[in-house]
Amino acid sequence: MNLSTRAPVQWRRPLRNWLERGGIYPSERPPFDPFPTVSDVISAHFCPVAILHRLLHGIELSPGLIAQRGREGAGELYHSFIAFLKSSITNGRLRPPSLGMIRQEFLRFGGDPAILAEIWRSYLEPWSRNRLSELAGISQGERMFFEVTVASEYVPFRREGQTLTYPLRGVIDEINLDRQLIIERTIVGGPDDQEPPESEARQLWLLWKILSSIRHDNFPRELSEVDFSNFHLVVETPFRPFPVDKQNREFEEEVHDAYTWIRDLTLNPRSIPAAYDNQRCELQPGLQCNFMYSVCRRRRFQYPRARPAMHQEFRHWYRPLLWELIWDWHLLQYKLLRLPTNTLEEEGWAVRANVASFLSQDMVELEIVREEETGPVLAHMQDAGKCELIFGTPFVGQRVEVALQEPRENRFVVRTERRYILMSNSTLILPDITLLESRPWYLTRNVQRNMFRFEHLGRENPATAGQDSLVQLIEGLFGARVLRRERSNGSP
Amino acid sequence: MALRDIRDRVGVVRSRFDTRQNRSVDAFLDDWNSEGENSFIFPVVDGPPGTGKTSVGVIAAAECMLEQRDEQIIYLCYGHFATDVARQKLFELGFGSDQVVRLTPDPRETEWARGIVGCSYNLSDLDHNTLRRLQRCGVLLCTLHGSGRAFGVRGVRGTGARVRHTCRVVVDEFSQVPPPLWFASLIRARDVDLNPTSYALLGDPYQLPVVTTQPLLQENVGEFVGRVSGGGLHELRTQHRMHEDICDAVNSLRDALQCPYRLESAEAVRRRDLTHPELNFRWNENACPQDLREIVSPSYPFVIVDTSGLGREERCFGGSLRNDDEAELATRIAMAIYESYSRNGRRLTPSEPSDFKVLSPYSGQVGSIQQRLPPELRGFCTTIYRSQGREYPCVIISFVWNDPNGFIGFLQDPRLRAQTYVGCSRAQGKLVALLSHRCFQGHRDFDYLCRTASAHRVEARPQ
Repeated sequence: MNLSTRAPVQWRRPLRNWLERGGIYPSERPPFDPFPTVSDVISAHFCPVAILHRLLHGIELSPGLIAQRGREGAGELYHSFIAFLKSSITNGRLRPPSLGMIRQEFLRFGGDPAILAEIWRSYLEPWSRNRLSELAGISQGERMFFEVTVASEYVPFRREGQTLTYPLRGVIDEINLDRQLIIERTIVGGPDDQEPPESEARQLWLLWKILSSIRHDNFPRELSEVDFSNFHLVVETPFRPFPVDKQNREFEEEVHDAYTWIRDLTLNPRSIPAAYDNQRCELQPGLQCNFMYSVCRRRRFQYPRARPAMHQEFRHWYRPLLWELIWDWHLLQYKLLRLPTNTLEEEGWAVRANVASFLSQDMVELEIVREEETGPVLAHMQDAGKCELIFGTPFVGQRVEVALQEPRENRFVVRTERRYILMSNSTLILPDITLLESRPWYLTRNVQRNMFRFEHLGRENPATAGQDSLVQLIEGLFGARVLRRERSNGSP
Repeated sequence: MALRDIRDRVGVVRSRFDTRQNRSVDAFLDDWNSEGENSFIFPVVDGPPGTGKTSVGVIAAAECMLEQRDEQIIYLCYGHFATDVARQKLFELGFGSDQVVRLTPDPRETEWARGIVGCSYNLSDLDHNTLRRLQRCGVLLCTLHGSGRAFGVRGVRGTGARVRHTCRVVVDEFSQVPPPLWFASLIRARDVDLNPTSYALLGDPYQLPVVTTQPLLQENVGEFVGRVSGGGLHELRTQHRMHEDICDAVNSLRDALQCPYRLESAEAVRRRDLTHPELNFRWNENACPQDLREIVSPSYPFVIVDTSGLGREERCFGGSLRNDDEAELATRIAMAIYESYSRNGRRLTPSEPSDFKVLSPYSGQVGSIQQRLPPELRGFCTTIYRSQGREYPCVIISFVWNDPNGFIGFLQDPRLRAQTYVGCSRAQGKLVALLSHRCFQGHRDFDYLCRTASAHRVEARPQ
C-alpha cells in the first residue's frame, strides 16, 4: 500500500468564550475542527474515501468488517446481551449460568427469533462456550462497567520526536475494575485466528490512549482511585481473547494522517479528488472492504438523464449538513469537557440529577438537584421526546438515552433501553436538541445518508424509467420535463 | 361511520370551500402523469394561517379513500404534532382507525382506537395481523424523518393482503422541510418498490422555517421546487379562523415579514369573538380579579400587555429561558380565564381541542408556567412549536424577554422569528400578547405588531 502521507495539522479547538452562550453566532463554516470519534479515526486511517462517505454522506459502515446480509445490527445485539448477561451475574440474578441458561436468556432478550437464532449460532454460542468458566468465576458485586464513553480534548500522539494532541471520543465495551481489564468486543474473527482483527486492536488502543489522557479529577468519584496504567487491554472475538500491546509506535505515527484527512474533508471541497486519488482499494488490489460494492462501486443507471444537474444541487448540501452537525453536536462535546458543571447548568447545557430509585430494569426515578429546573426539564422532555443522561462525568461516563415516562412532584420517571449496571447514582441530564431548539442532532446523519442514496437511484430501461415517478420527478425538477401545479384544463 | 355519511360530510366541506381550495383539492387528486409525456403534475399549496391548507390535504385524502382506490396516502409532516392534527381532522370527518393511522417510533404509544401505532423503523416488531391492517389503511400519517415506517408498510410481503404498490405522497407544513430532508424521505418509497402516483406540498412559507446554521440549507422544499421548476403556487388567501382584530395583528406581522399578499377574513369569522354563538363562551365578570378584567374581557379580541415593569428573563435547561414575573402574570391571567369563563355551559377544559392556551416560544417558560398551574390544568400551556397546525378560541402568549438592552434572542433571528407569527395566528376569538415594550421596541416584527390599530393596550404592574 502506498497512501500518501499528509502533513499533520494543528487541531483548531473552539476558543473559551465561544463555548458560552452568545460567544459565537453559529453560521456557515465552523471556525474550529470537529470532535472525532475513534471510529472516525479508524475509518480515516483505513481509507480516505471511507471517511469521506462517513463525514459527508452519513455512511457509518466499518470499512474493514464485511457485513453479511441480514446480520446488520448483530454486533449491537451481541454487545448489549453480553452486558446484560454479565450484569445479571454480578447482581446475583443468574448464578452460575449454563450454556442452556444463556441461550434461554438470549432468546428472551428480544427481536426476531430467526435472527436471534442465527446470532446465537454464529457468535454467542462460541463466545459462551469459551467463557463458561470465566462467567462462573464472576463474583457477586464485581465491579464491571459496560459501554463507558471516554472523551478527552487533548489526546497526545507522538510523531517524529514531537507530540501533537487531538480531541477524541469513543465507547469502551467493558471496564472490569477488579480484574483490571479493558475489553473491546467484536463479532469479527474466526476460530483459527492467531491475531486480533486489526481495526479492533487499534480501536482499543485509541480508547486506552483517551483514558490515559484524562486527569483523575475528571473521573467519576467511583473511579477516582483507579490507576488505569496497569490495566490489560483485550480484544475479545467470539472464539478467544487477544491481549493488545499498549505500545503501538507504528499506529501512533499513522494517526496524524487520519486526523489530517478528517480536517481536510470537513473543510475543503478540493480535498475530495485527493481522497479518491488515495482510495485504498485502487492502491491495494484484492482488498476486501464494506464500502466497495454498496457505496464506491455501485451501479450507475442510465436514467434519470438529469442526474448530473441533480448532483450540482445536491453537492452544495452535503458539507453544510456536516457543518450543521459540527455546530450542534461537536461544539457541545467541547463544551461538556471544557466548562465546569455549574457553568453548564447556568448556560442551560446540562442539569444535575440524582437517581432516587431504580423502579425496574428499565425505569429510573430521577430527582433534579436544583428544584427550580424541574419544570423546564419536564417541558423540554415533553417537547423533544427524550434526553441523554451521563452517569459519571462527561470525560468518563455511561451515556444513556432516556424517554420521559411519568412526571411526579419534583421528580420524574424515565425509561431507558440500557440493561447493565450504572457506574454512578449521580447524573447529568443533557438536552437532546440542537443549538436552535429544533430537532435532535442525530437525524442529520440519516438525512445525509438517504440523500446520497436518492442521488443514485435510477432505472436502466427507458420504458420502466418512463413509468417511474421518482425518476420522472427528477427529470421534472432538474431536466426537460415540465412541472405544473395542475392540469391545464384546471386553470380558469 | 358509514362511507355514505362521510361522503356527505366531505361534500358539505367542499361546498364551503372557495374556488382556490377546490382547485387545490382537484390538483391533489391528479396523477403525476395525467397530462401526458412532457409534464409532471406537482401541486404546491401556499396556505397562510386559517386558510384551511390542512383541510385541503385532508379532504383530498378523504376523496381518494372514498373513490375506493387501492392506493395509500402517505401524509408526512415535519413534527409529530402536525401529523396528529391531520389525523384528528380525518377522524372528525368520520374515518376510523381502520382507515387512518398515525405511525410513531414508540411501540408503547400504540392505541388502535385512536389510530396510533408505534413501531420500530423497519416494522420488525409488528405481527402480520397488524401489518395487514396497516396495509389496508387509506391514510398513514408520519413524520418525514420517520417516513420509512409509512412507506415500508406496503413493502412487507407475506402478510396475505393483496395491495398495489402505489401511494400518494403529501407533505404538510413544508416551510419546515429543507429539500435534503424531502429527498431523503422519498428514497424510502424506492426501498420498498413503491411507485407513487402523485406528490404534493402544503404549507405557508412564512410559518416556522427550516432551522439551520447553514445559509445553503435555509430554503424550504416549496421554495426549492418553485426555484428549480419555475412552477406556480396555489395561493389560499381567505382565512376562516380569526376575528378581524386578530387577523389585523397577523397581517401586521405578514407586512413585517414582507409577505406578498394580506389575508382576507371570511364573513363568518370577521366579528366572531369569544361570546359569538359559534365559540359560545360566557363571561362572568365578577369571577375575574378586578385588575385583570381589562385583559380578560371578551370585548377586546386583541390585547397587548406591556410587561416592561416586570422582572427579567433567566437562562434555564436546554439553553431555554424563563421569566418568573411574566410566568406569574400569565398564570394569573390563565386562572382568571379558567375561573370566569364557561363554554357550552361547562368549565373550560385543557384537553384537545383545548378551550384556551398559554403559549411561549421557550420551553423553559412553559415549564415555569406549568409548575404554577394546578396539575390538572397544566395542559393549558405549551410551546408555540407544539401549537403549529392547531387553533384555539383564546390564546395568551408570553414572549419572555425583558432585557434592558433590547436583546430578544432567537425572536429576532431571521430563521426563527416566525414563532411570533405562528403563535398569534393560533387565536380565533381572543389573543393576549405579554411583551415588554421597552425590550421589544425597535424590532421590526414587534413594532408592526404593536402598531396594529385594533390592539387594546394594557400596562402590567409588578405585584
